[in-house]
Amino acid sequence: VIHVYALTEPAPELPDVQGIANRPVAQVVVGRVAAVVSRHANAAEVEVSEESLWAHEAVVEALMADRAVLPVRFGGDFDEDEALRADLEPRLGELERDLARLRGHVELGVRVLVRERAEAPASGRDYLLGRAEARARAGRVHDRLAELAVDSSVAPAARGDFLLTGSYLVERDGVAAFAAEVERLAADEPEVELVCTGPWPPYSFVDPAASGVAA
Amino acid sequence: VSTDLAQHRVALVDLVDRLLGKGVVLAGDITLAVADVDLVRISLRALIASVGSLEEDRDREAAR
Repeated sequence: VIHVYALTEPAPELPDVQGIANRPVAQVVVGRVAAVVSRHANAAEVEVSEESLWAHEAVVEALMADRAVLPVRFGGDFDEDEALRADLEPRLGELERDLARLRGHVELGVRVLVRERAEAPASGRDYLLGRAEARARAGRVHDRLAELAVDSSVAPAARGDFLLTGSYLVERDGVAAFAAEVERLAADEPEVELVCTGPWPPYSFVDPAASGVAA
Repeated sequence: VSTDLAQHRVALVDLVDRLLGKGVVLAGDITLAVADVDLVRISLRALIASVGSLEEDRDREAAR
């Protein structure tokens, strides 16, 4: 089984990183795009698990350190190189354009969580008012962060106690300023909790036309 | 301590959301059984749910 981590540009060397199950990583070059892959005799090795997800991520992050990457959704597995090539060939143009667009950019994740109050709300009305207020705070957080970002995307529905699940595309040089702004917002909005993760590879910002989603 | 805990769990939720829900989709993806994804979502569900109950963790940490 061939497991694909990311699409990038062909380069003489790959970073010193191991793939899932400690397998070596290699490039399959198709035109001006290189798929970074690992090969597994046993398909069970590339099954989804917390460990394999982190291993996949580690490879993409290592690549991201010194080249443009389009992270591939976990599970892009093929039986043979030919099938992988056949999948990439029809969209090489879009993939190359997307690599150029995302070069030098990383993704930051910001979640806003409800911070529970010391005392329970006095009534259902108070509870609802509190929620509405917290949602407004989350909206302010998003608006400010979106201003700093090149692009942003928000998960459609708040899940559980997440008031905001936002992804922000920023230039690599802008990460420190973005993180500093998150700190400032956290201080300004003590009623909610902000958690920032990243820098991630730009998973949320690959072009649907190149990514295969629209196909 | 609770903040670190929150960060770790949120990082895991962020990881799952991104790797299983975003990124370039390759045709080989269809070989990933939907059931596999569901299993991961189920096994990680406790972690996701507990992000929303940080207060409990905070209380537990405080009780130590």
